[in-house]
Amino acid sequence: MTRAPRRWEGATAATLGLLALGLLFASPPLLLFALVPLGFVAYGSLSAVPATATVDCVRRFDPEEPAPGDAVTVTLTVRNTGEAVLPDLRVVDGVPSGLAVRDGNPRLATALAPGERASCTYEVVARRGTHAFTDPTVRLRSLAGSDVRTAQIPVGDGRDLRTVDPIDTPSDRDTRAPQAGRQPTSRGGGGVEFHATREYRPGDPADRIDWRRYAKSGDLATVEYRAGRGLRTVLVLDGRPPGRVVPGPGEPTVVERCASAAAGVREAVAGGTGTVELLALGVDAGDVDVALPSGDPPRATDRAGTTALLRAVVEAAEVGGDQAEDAGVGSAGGGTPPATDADVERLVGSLHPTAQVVLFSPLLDDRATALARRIAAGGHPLVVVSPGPGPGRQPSESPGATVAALERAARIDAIEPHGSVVDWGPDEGLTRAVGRTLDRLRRTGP
Amino acid sequence: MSARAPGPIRFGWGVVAATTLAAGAVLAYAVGVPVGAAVAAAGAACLGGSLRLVRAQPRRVRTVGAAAGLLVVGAGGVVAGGSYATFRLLGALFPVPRVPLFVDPSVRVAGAVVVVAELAVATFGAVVTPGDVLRGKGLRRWQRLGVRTATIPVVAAAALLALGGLRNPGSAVNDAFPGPVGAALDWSAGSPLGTLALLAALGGAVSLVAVWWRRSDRSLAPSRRALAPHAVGGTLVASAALGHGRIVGPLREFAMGLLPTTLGELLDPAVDSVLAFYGGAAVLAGVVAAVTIVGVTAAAALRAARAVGVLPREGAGAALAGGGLVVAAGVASPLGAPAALVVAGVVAGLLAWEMGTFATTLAREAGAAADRRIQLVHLGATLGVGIAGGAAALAGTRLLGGPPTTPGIPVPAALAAVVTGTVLFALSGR
Repeated sequence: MTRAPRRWEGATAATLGLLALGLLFASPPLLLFALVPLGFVAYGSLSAVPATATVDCVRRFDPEEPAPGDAVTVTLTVRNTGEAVLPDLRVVDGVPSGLAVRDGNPRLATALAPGERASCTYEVVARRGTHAFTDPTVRLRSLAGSDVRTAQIPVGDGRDLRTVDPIDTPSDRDTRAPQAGRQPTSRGGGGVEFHATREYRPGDPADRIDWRRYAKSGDLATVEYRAGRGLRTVLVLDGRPPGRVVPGPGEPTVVERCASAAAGVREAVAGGTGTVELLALGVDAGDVDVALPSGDPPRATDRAGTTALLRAVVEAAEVGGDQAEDAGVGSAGGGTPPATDADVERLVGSLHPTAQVVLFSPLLDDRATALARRIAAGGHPLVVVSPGPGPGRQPSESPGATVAALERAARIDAIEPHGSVVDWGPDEGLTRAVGRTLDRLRRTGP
Repeated sequence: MSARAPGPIRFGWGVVAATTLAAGAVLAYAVGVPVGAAVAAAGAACLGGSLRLVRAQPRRVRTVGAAAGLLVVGAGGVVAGGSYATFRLLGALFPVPRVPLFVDPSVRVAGAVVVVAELAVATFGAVVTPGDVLRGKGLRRWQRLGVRTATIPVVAAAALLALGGLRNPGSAVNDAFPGPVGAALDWSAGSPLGTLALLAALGGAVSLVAVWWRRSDRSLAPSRRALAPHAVGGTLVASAALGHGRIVGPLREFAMGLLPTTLGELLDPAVDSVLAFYGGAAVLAGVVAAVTIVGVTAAAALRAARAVGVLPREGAGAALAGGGLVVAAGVASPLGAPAALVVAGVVAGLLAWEMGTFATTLAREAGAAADRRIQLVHLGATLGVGIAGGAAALAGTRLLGGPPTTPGIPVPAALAAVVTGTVLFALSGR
């Protein structure tokens, strides 16, 4: 597309003005001085974008397959593939409307010699799904700026940003959690930790015989190790309306981040030897299209059931999050009423006695604090994973956001004597947050 | 564009400011009006600052008050600069020995005033170029601010001038207010305190009307920020009423000292009679009102120019800066400015115009993504074309021979230049 801007009209006016003044004062030098603006007018008329001007564009994502909520660095590189200098090159990348630019600028304006390249780098926050970037819009101007050509240049690869959905994609990021699923017992048996020695019984494996003792005394004895038993890890996902907030435009809701973390921990623990159970608070069968597992609150242990439950929580939060985004960033969406004391008691009462609990909650209300304390009071080892709704992504935090952040910090302080809290900042990726959670689980286990 | 602009964009705007400052100073010196041009330019800068304040924070009472103050100071500066240049040149060029020689100095004075005015316009344009301040609603708000600032000075000046007429012994309506009313009017017009009391009474009456208005329709109630410019205007009038004795005399002496003796002797009795008829307070209030009207007129003229398309929608500040410099350079030529300076002024004007417009569009399209390289390439090319055109013009002037105003330059040469220019112009326009 070519467009001729109304450029150098000032020079035209100056030419006419000086000519008029020259005639008025009968001054030939003034008439000659009109050559100066006239030169600019001629320069503007003759200047054109070279017909052979061509550029190519390459777009790269880092990481290429992010999880929802992860920061993705997008780099758009433009190269002058023609043989002429491009004195004025302006590029705007086609960021999908569903993604928000968090840092940097998806634009570029520079001059390029033949073969030279320039890049713009910016950061977007990944959301679930596949996001198609449109081709970058490239605008070339002539040296005088009087000739303009605008075109969309195809980028080839790098058109779509696909996010890996941690809810139904097995994670291979962190498999360091087998111990998190084993709980040592006071019984001897199979294991790795020494428990006791006993008299040899026929049929005991040869590698369990205490050969050192046999060498000293000639008696056969069998070594027993501390037996382990499968540990039940219960993931409690707080999907109530207070958490259905978005930290910034284009970002996933805080509840969605909770669900992603829960899915990551589920994969890691289930990949070990532990049993995983997922409970969700704040999701109602009437709010979502997904079939909810049974139970009050709904719960599931198998992979299909937990996946359906996680999806239901995310879906319910998305409706509330969209409402919140329409009403203004940070507003809570409506929907299911918050859990009552009876709900909390019912949930804690239903926990397996030896279960260790991971509570995923943004801790945006006191009910979440009460739930965490009640779980810890039931004798369950507790880790709380809490993605914060801010601060930091918005350039100017409101006083209300500041107060909310202070209240959340106070809730974390209140929970920490009873369990370990993973405060998941907005700039921390999902992988790291899941890794920290598993570390805490290893340390907090019975 | 309220946020701080990125470096490359600021570079473009900086070129506009530096070019305007340098070329303006050179041209003012060449025409012989450095002081007047400097004062007017400072006033224009204040006017630009006032507009920037109104656009940046139109809802802050203090900002609006400061903008109103700057508006008055700026308009006063422009008026003072122009007046000083006029009086100074009148004193230097007059009297003339013979009547036929009257025309040339008159043209020189008028031309110098035009140069001062255009340099003020250029300075205003350079100040409002960053952020493209003339775009959007800022200009309308600024005009409204000017009207509010001027309201009290204009009403008060009219009242004081009328009062001066009423209490004058020669006035036909003087006898219409006998007794205590007449005595009160005499006291009001005769002493500073009396004048102030009269203005307070006027203000009270206006306030009563405003209160009644507010009660009748709350939607029309003026806000605090709307009252701020009125407060500035009222303060100015009150200062004029109280301090006219210390201001009018020295001001008159200063102005008369600049004028040629014969003209001074001619004007002195007239000024005496005006002051005696209306009183110093009324005259000073009139001057204040006139200054505020200059501010309002400037805002209205800019809006009109933008509405009819004389000013571009984008980069209007740069257009004012560049256009002001080009006109000032063009007018400076017949006033005897050296050809090289005139050409430099024209080149500087076009450079400021182009770089300001370029930076403004670059800020809109690329913002912080723009690098300095693109600006430097454009600056180099524009400057190169300007230098080439300027060199051609200067070479042509030398070929024609003699300084710009030398008589006897062959008319055919001038006509040839006109024809060549017109043909080139028509060709380039295609």
